[in-house]
Amino acid sequence: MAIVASVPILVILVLMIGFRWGAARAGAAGYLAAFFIAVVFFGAGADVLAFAHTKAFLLTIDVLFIIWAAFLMYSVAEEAGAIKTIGRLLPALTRDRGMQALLIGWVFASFLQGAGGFGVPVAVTAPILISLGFTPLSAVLIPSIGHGWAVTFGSMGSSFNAMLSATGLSASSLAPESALFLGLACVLTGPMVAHAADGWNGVKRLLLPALVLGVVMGAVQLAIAAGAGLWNLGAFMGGLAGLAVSVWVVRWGGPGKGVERSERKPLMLALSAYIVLIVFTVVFLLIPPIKNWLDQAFIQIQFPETVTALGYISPAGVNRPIHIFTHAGAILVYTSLVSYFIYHRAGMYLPGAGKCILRMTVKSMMSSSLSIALMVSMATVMQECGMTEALAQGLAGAVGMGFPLIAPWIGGIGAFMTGSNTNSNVVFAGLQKRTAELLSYSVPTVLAGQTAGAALASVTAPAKVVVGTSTAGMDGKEGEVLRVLVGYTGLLVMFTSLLTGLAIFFGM
Amino acid sequence: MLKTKFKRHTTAFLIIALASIFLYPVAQSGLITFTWSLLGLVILAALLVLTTK
Repeated sequence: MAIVASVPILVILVLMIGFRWGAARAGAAGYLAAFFIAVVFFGAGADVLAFAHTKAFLLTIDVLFIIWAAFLMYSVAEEAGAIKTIGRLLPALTRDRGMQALLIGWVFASFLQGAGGFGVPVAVTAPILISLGFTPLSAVLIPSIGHGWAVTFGSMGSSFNAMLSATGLSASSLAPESALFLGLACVLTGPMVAHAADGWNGVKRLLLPALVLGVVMGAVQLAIAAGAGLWNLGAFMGGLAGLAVSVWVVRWGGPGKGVERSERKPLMLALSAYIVLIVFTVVFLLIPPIKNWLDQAFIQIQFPETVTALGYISPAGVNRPIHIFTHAGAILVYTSLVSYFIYHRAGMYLPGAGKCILRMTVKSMMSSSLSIALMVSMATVMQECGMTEALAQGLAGAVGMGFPLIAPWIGGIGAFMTGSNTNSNVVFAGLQKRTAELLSYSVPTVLAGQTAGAALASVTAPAKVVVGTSTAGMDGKEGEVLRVLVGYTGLLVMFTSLLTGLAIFFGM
Repeated sequence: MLKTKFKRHTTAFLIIALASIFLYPVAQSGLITFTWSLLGLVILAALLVLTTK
């Protein structure tokens, strides 16, 4: 049964990697395969499938709310020229090319991943790096390696939120180890970016600033996501802290001309959207009377127990509540509206910018929304009719003790084939959780390995590589980028695999 | 009618969303034929995506 249960996942894998299908189309094929197998081999009846689809829809809303709102906010800032302003002024901080690579391709790219994501870090920073004299290959490689650690808690935590929804576990139980693994990967990422920019010479020369920046960004992400419980701001605050510390650290490589006085006002205006986001997040999530009052509006549905013809029972219960007004997506919508007003008042928009922002958001998000909806439906159907259970039992029997070491690789392959950390968590988090339970391993540790592996490997997803090559004028040379990129990300996933193994076997 | 990829994807997404919403009350009421009809709509939407290059 485990082999039959693996067919939908294999269908997606083969179609995306072997036949280069897009995520939406491959997701549709995977979904149809899961539906057919659920009915024919796992005895799923109409009620099992119906409730599975409603659960999938709620999970999809939970995930898409953040993704749509984060892209809306990015579009508000992009249309006002705010992203360009920040990117234009950063290189003025240092003359050292290696330091510029760290600052723009790692720290700024991570900040962009924290705030937006969706391929934006590479799309925005690759052209800046080329203008500074980097080769197109380096210009794509550097930010691709640089922002992987920030993916799970980036895009306002959409990938982490997907893992919460898919497993039904709390943020407080999953955030600490996930943020720790990704923070340690961040520390390792700095020297790798230095290597990609300037070889071993760059690693030796930039080791200290890279370590300082890596520790600061990783520690701030850990403190915000796990300590303060603001997982939607983890990578964003980590990137912001990195930018703040960069102003001081870049001087070790020889200061640049600095940001001129006349440029300070445009810079502050450009950053205003992100300042509003921090303020709103703190006000709406950390002030109990406000949060409690707003938390009264939520979507939560009671589902009855369902049983398949083979006797697999899905117990009665409720979905994870979707708090309409304090959801990370809602906070992004408030921020987008206020930021639009600020930029509009400052005269940063051309006529018709509002319509342009909405059109760009809807057009850009539809295809990925559909792929998420289909993959969520596939994963939920598999979960509700016992396919995930069969797959988990098969996996536990096949790899046994070695499971913690391969968990991050499963997440990584999932991200590579589905194009995102979010999709990987949707498809594999339930399976990883159940396999860990069957083997009596720590579920949060295994899921930390899952999401860290997925985040780090997501940068190698063909869809993301294409974004990078197209903005760097390397169309058709995706294979060349991928060959080098896989080496760096493979090392990072291997590192995560070791961390997961150490944490499980030695309780570290 | 559904000439562009964007229109086909939007239509498929709306069908999946609406069918998934109505599946809950229909299944709770035990209306088996209606339930299978709505599930059939979701399958049609998936086929629409599958045939969109």
